[in-house]
Amino acid sequence: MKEFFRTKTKITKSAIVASLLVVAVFGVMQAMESKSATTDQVNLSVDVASTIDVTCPDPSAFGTLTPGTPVTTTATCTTTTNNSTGYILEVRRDDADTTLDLSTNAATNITDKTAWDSTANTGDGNAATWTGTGLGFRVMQTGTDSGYNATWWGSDDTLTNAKFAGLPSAYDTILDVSSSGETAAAVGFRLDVPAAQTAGTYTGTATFQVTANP
Amino acid sequence: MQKFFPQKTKKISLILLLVLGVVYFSWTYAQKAPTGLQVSPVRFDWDLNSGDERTGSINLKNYDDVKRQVTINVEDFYVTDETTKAEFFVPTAGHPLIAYDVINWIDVPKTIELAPQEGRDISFHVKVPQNTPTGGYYGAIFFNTKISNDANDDKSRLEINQRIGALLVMAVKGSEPIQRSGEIKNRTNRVQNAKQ
Repeated sequence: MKEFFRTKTKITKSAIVASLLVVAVFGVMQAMESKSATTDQVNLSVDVASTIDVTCPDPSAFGTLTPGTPVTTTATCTTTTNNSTGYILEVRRDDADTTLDLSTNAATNITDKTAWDSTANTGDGNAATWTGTGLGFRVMQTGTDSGYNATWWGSDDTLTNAKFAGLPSAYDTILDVSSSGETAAAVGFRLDVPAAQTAGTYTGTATFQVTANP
Repeated sequence: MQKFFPQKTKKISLILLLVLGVVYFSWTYAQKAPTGLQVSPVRFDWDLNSGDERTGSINLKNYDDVKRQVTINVEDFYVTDETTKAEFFVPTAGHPLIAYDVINWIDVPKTIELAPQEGRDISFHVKVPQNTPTGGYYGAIFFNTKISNDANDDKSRLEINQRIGALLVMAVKGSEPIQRSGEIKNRTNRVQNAKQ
């Protein structure tokens, strides 16, 4: 009986070993098969949509203005685009007559400098160095990453070279950025008023427009 | 060496280094995080037939932590021969390009409100009128918003609004055939290595 069981145990062991061998061979074949499957070429394609992301916060307040002593403030527009031809930044004032009105009486205005016209003087624009009083703006060299036009806005930001214009009533280009990426555009505003300017708080709005270069 | 840098000092240094690392990476991430309003895509190029209708979608994303009221309007545009700049306009009755006006072709919501960090697909519908002559028709959908919150500090100030445009370039085929033309401004020779 003992012999019978010993023989049976031997047979069972052999069967287990054989089974394991079969399973192992099958496993190796499966692995080879799956490995050959992973070497098959898979084509992946994706279209990345074009985007423009813009943020143009308000500049800080002008503060208290003493006639004859100009004050300045700066607005920085940050634009991010993957459009390969870049973007155009335009600006206009939102009020029909002048940008800044007396809060208590919209008919009392602060005069704007001569409205910006990018096509004037065969494309050189009509900005000029600062004289007199009024509200003027310019794209600043410092703080503008790309597309600064020295012909339009002056060779640098010093008062003797910086060129200013008034905010136009219709959108006009102030910056042309011809490549993709994240860029900042610093727009400076300079304000002075004549001694006869009515005292009070003056407010106004301007709109920056960003579109992809077509 | 061990007495100069006891175990406790080593542990404190390690923790300090980890904290500084986390602060640095958080700051770097905060610097790179987008802000403002994003429009995508920024241009559509569609071939349409006279009488066709088509619906498009523009994704608008408010990256800021405050809700944004966005007003939407449509304008026409043209591109001059001299420059590649788009000139936007709303034509009056006597406008020389009134025949190419597409403002009334495009139906889009007038206003929407985006919650903080919300992105939303804005659908617009274009209906080309029957018997529209063959030609290029150009429109732009503008998204207007204000990034800063209104200040009530009784100081003289200039406030900024912003608007972002998505261009819609439509080549419409009417009864006449479409003629496409262009000018090559510059050319670069490209050598391509190809397996024979």
